[in-house]
Amino acid sequence: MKSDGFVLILCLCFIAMVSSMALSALLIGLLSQKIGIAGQQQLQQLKLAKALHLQQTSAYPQITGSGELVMCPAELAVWSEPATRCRWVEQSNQHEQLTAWSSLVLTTELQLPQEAL
Amino acid sequence: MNRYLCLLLRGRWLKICLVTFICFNTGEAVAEPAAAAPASVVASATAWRLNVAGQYQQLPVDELAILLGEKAAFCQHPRPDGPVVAWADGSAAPQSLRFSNEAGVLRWWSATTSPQLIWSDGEVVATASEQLSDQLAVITAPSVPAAPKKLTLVWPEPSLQRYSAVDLTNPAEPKALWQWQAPVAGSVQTPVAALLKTATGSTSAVLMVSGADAVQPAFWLVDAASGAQLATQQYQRAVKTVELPFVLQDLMAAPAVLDRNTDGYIDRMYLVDRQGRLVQVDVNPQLQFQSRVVADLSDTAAEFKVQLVASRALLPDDQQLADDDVVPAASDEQIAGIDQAAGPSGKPADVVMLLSTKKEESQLWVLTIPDSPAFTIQPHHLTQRDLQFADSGVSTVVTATPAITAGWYGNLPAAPVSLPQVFAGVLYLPVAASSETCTGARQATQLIARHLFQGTQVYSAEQLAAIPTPFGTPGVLRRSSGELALQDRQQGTLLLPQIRGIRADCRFCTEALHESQYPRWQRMAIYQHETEVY
Repeated sequence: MKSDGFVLILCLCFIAMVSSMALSALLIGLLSQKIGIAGQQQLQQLKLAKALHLQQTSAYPQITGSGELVMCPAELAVWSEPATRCRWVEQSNQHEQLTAWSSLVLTTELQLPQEAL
Repeated sequence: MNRYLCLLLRGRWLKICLVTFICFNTGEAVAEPAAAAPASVVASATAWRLNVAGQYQQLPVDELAILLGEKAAFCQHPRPDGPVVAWADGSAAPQSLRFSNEAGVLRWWSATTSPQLIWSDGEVVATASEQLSDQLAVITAPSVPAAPKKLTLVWPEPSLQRYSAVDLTNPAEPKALWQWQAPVAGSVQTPVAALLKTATGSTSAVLMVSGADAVQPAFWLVDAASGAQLATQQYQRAVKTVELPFVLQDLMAAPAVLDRNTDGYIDRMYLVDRQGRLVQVDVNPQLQFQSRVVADLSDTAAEFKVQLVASRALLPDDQQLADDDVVPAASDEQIAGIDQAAGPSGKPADVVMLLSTKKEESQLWVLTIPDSPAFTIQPHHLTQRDLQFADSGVSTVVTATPAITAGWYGNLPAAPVSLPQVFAGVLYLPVAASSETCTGARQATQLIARHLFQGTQVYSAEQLAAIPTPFGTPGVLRRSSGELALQDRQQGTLLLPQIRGIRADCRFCTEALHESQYPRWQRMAIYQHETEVY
């Protein structure tokens, strides 16, 4: 009688252990799937935000900072006299529910005399 | 005796009257920036001479007439292509103050101010050894704003073998600042203004070289405010040996200065000796120098006495070039827009332009020197270009050589009349068959226009032949129709109705420049906002 009860308890313990393992595996699988989907969505949002940011042209309205440079950095089309003026501009996008991206942009303007009319 | 005295006196008064008459009849046009050069220096000029107390004293007109009338060689026309500084006394709008130095006599004038002359000794006027450069240094403080609060000029006086500095903050009252003589005897050359970053802050300095026949080739940095010597570097003069392959001879050409990190302070200088050894000198805030010979052109047996011109350039990476150059853009015009790639890529380099003479022929040299040069540039590393004749039929895509070489050179068809200038990557050099340097000052009869890195033609022979001659120093102008044009700075005439420039995305290609291409936007970096989103 005693041995039968012991076997029953063992079986119950085994069933409980197996079922808990199965449940936890299920739970972990579910969670990882959800995390994966969330990560993928976030990555897509990040890409979308970056793509939107990169699509912006020089007319981008959200300029968060700017400053004038003492002189323009070197470039391929060299000017031997100061005919250009350079500024750095920080641009950001602030779209709703999208990751914000910023760019540091160098703007080069011409400083040349105007033809007399 | 009395008869002879009367004749002598009469002769002197006749001379004064004659000079004054000539001057009044030719001295109407004074100095609109684009107008012809002032015709007379005496008629309406004010002259200042250094007195024994070390201050500038105004000269009476008759004394000035005698001094200048007796010197047939003295240039009556101030140099029209000298530096221009916007000057204002605070009460009026800034006006363009123009400067000229001919034979040690400093001159300045504006649209409203008649020519003012300054020199130390009226008896002797010696011709400067090198005519193409400005032969003066303008130091403004602050250096960037349109109207400087302080204006100092330093110029060489060949007759006295020294440099003089004058404070022209108030041009009506020139103040003598200092005179400086090199400790090593040599000829005086064009001084070069240099803003230095030192351990104590920023210092306006003037850079001078030792010139011809100095005991040792050397250069000096002199404080522009006080005339005190800040630093010097002397080089050993010795015979060229295997152990010392690069020994320097006379430093006659005025040096070029560069600001590599664009912080507003110079940190690199270029010197060239008479035989063509190009020395790169790096300077640190402690005013210590590190020199190395980056090019040796002495095998050409040419003489290098003309001021150097140097610029910083960002050369594209070879990999990027390989991709870009295969497929040139289909359209000649490129719409201004932001670059998609984050950050510019390329190799920083210095571009140094030199002029030399050999057997009464002039040569132009353009050297591209990377920041870490692997070898000393020799003439055989350079591409020889034929600058004598223009090819016809120039396309927008220049025939490419396999890679950017160490540079190029060529014989000029005539003597240059001013230093080379670079606009949007195209080199312009006016030349003239006549070597006249004074009357009709520096009027060119031909324009050399070449791709800066390749030395190839940018404009067709027809375009260059259509330039109205003679012309003075060229400059870029923004036309009312939007095109960027090349004009004669002195006479205001149009030389090229639309200039071309190197395209940023293709080193071998040029494009016609238009106002609509500016401002140019270049993305330097792209990053996420980490504080606001997460």
